[in-house]
Amino acid sequence: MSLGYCQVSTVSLNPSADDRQLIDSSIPSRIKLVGFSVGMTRVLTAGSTNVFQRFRLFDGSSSDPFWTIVYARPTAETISYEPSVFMVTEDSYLQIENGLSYEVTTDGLASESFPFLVNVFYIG
Amino acid sequence: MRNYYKSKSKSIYHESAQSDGALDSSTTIASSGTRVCLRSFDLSSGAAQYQNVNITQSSPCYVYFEKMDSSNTEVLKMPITLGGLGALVFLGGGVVTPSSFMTIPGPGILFDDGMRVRITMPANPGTLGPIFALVNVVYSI
Repeated sequence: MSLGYCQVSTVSLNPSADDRQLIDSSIPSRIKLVGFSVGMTRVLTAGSTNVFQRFRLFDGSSSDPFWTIVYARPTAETISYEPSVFMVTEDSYLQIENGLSYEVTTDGLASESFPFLVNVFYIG
Repeated sequence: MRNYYKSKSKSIYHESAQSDGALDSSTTIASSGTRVCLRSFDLSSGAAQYQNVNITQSSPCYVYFEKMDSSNTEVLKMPITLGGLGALVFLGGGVVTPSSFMTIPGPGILFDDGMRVRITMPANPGTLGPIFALVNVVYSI
């Protein structure tokens, strides 16, 4: 059995707080998710102080996130940086049934000019 | 013929407000009697305020992967990566919270009698904001 070739979707996101959205409406609702990367394109300092800002991934409208990435509020715009990357083990996949969706817990994590850059690796 | 395993993922996030006591919380992944395989997991913890040093090397957050048998047999225990301190003085920890992504080699670790994820966090005395611990766990049933 082969899962077939991996497809990649690259999107820019400028999310508002607590607003559940599909990562990419062109991705089928039912996919085998094999990886993703989530990166800021600029470090913003506008986030709330003393609040953990979270980027969360969901299967559709589920109340239970299957992945969380935490961002602490920075005090300067240039500091060391890397995107968050996840890849499944070679012989497995995460089944998404109702659309790969995301939500952030606070505003100020991105902007129109400097959005999140998200890559989704999947098998449709 | 190669087998591909449908896996599931669950995100377990705990946050302690300033002045909160220590936390010890367990989340059931699979109930007793269920066979479940731990495939990989992602760990991070931190503080929003850089002066908050209640999570330290001597008092880290821990994650335990335990069976659901009567004694909750411990299979794996690790300190949770510390990184997300919200300040420039902790270079590398200020923005994306560094995390440790662990992949279990081969087919994974078999839990033959259910599995739970237990997370402990130290107390968070003082007035320097919240601390957090996060475990994203990937498993197959």
